[in-house]
Amino acid sequence: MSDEPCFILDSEYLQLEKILIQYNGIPIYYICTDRNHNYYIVLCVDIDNEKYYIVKSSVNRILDLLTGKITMRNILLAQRTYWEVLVGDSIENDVSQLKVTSKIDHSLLPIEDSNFILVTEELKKYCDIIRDIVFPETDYSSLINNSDSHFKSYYTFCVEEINSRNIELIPSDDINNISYKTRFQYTHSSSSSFSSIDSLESTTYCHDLNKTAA
Amino acid sequence: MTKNKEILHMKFPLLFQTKLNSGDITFPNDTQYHYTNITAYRCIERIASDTSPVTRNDFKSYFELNKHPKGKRFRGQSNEFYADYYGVSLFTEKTQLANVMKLPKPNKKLCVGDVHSDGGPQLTNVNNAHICWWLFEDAILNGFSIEEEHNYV
Repeated sequence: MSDEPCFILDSEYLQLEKILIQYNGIPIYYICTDRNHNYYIVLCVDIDNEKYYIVKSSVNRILDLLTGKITMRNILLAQRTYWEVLVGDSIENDVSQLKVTSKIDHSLLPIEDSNFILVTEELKKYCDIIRDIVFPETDYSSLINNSDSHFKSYYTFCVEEINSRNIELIPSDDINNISYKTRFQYTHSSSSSFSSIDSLESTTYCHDLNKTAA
Repeated sequence: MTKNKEILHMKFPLLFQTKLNSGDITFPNDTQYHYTNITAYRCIERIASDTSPVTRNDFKSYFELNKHPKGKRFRGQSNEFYADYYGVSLFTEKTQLANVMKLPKPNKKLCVGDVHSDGGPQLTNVNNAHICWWLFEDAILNGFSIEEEHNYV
């Protein structure tokens, strides 16, 4: 990858983070970051004239994009403003305009039903990196050792199920999207010893048991 | 330059020949010159109503199309693009094109056919299923056809 910045917006230098889509070798939908760890989605809307739409985003939204919870189109529409950049012969000669999203040309955006698909191992690994940023790893062993018997039995049950059925654990912050039959959710959060780790309930203790490891 | 190389270079479009002969462009080390046919997919620029057959015009490199970035490279592009600029892009897996087909510009269709050594050398990147195919001037592409219906699963 080139170390040169891709764009300068409001004095911030945007570096290429990850190319999501290329068209015949030209990156047309990708992620940039700035030195303050802000994320940006970049869409090339005109290859011949090198015109781009750029939207500031967040790491959570990037994860939503990579996991198909928000479409390639809607992540661009999620902010009130976007930058339209007409590339010059050098980055200093770019013409950038901040515009309101309500006036964006929808015909240039990805189609309505544009869920991003992780088509390469490289992108899957990148998704894991982003997931780790959004959901930092927790030391479960110490939590388990310090937890009550309800939780220990629940955990043991899950581990046995997971091992016997070759199940992939899917951390989820959206338990409503997992059907009741496929959900193993710890329900003893009222117990006093569990309250210290109740934040885990919405993320870790929710596994889609129908999801089989590849 | 060896005689074999000279014969090979003569098969490419004239301007590409010149670049190869002068050493301005060299093929990457892993380039395959003799290989069995590889079924591959490519996006070609077409409006929805255009149902004409796939031709060599649909397989022109950016060099042949005289498309140049305004700067040193297109934004977001790596330094490793140089040889690709003279070849055309295909993918061995259709799913690799599932995302790009969701972008409306440019208008495009998906075509499928065999990459073959009579058409020119190729380099396949097994990590992303991408093929760069450096086409001979008179490469025959009538084995490629447009897929109007596609299911990426």
